[in-house]
Amino acid sequence: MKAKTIEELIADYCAGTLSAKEAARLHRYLRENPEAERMFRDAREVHSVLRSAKVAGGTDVREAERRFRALLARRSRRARAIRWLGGGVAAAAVIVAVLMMAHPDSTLRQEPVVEMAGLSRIAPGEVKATLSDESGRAVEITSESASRLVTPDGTVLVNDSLGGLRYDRSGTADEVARTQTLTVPVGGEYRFTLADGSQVWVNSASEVRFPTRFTGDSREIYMSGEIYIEVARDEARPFIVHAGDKSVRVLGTKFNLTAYPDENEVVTTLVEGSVEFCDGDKCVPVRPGEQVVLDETTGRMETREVDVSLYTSWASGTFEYEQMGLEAIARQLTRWYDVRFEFDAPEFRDHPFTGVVKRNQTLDEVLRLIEKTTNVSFEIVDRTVHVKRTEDAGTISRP
Amino acid sequence: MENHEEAKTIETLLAAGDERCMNLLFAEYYRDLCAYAARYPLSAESVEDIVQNVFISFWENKRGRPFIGSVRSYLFGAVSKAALRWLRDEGKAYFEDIETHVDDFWESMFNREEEEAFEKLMEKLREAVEQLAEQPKRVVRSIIWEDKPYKLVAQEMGISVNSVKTYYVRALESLRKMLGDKYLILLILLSRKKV
Repeated sequence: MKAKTIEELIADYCAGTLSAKEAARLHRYLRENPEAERMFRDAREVHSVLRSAKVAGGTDVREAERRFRALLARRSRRARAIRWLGGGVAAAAVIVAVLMMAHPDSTLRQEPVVEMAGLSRIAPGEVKATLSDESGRAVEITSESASRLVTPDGTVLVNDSLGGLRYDRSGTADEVARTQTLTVPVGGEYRFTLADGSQVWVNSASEVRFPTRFTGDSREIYMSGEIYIEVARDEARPFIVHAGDKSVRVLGTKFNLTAYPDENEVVTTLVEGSVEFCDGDKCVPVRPGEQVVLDETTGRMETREVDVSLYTSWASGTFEYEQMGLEAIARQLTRWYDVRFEFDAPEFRDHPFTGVVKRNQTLDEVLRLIEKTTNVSFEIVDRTVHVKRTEDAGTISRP
Repeated sequence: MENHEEAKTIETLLAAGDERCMNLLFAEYYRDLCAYAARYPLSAESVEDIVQNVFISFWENKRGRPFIGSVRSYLFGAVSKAALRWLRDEGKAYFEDIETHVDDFWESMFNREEEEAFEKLMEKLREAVEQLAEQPKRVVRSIIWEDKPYKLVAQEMGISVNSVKTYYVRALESLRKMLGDKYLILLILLSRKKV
């Protein structure tokens, strides 16, 4: 088959009919040819404006509202049936499907009645962070912080209710670049925008150190924990993320970096673009859809192909697990719900779980989901979750 | 900026869990949100489905308690997120890294203050379409105003699908040139300054 021309590829992109392979090819081509990229942007701009105008003119608001009412009525009937799942319908559908595959007879089995007093009170984490300057003076940020924020070092920052702190819109142009540190506690998450427009999602128990303005030939930040970052494109100034003596060097891309001190692995997952992961001087390239795992004890680096959404979903509000061991899941939940896990039944440490969990659910709801597809029961004492075999838990808590 | 009276009423009704809140939301934002979502490479139906779903989850999750922040920005942000999720889930290509630079421009287009600028831009575009040669003009009209797939346009015009696509993209390019940089860039700058 003859390869498509650039015009055909752009036309198919506009129509949403481009295959994944062609998309990758077009993307690479645009990245390598500024002229083609400009053409792409021009076409997309005009196409979008025309489409918007057409859609605005052709929208029947009254009909839409009727449809909405009908949909809402149908959902509230259904919602009563699936309320036990919490969360949205999409998450529910996935979990149910997984359930059926794992336990075809699950509907027949009696659910163990486990008393989980106190569990439902453990709320999910929330938007919060602490911003501190070089002298260590700190200011707390939550989703309710004001839209303008003055930091202890006198920098005036724009705080966008959706986008978080925006260094790219803050009036720091005439000031010297200062170093600030954004710390997200256990049970928190935070998203903000760096001075170059790059967006950073910071997960629980993580820290990012960065300049209020980027000067010099490269853009460098330092992190520990987990971040997902969408780097603003700037060929002239590479973007470097340091995690201890590891680093990731990029031009413009989206990737997830996990480097928690309590995890044995440093994991770089690339969504788009291209990056290089370096452990000291040892560097390997990472391509989109790939993940590089560095085992800190052996120093071995392994590149594998992964479903990137599993590793980046937290930034958009869900935890996605595919055959993930309970111990790894427990470490993640520990950071988000601020609890401790004890494996009273150690054989479950590697027990795989597949499913989708919304980060805004309570711990109770999340644990119940996991219980549905495994022989595991959770019991909570203060802020410690005990992981037990279902029968054990059943005998303990049965009145 | 948004209409403050209206926004206040919406917030009050929402906090009270009063369904009339949704009547107002539809009247105030539905059309704009659809137009906003249409900037992504989505079909007309998916545009409406996405906005509908955003309204549903907004109502189900936010009613009955005070809303913090601006409802308007929240809805635009939610539509954008939902559209990106839809594209991802459907396996559709969307080059966020190449397209994001116009984000602010888009949101500002549906601000009341910018309405006039948007109208002017549309007027310019309509004029520019008129100036295209006969074939490309017909291609643009069929694809945009009549919402026809490339294949159908090709059949109707008795040319190959490839020619339709090539005509179309080249027409978009020359429209962009006719508009000149100053229009789009002016709007982008305008929206940047305001924030």
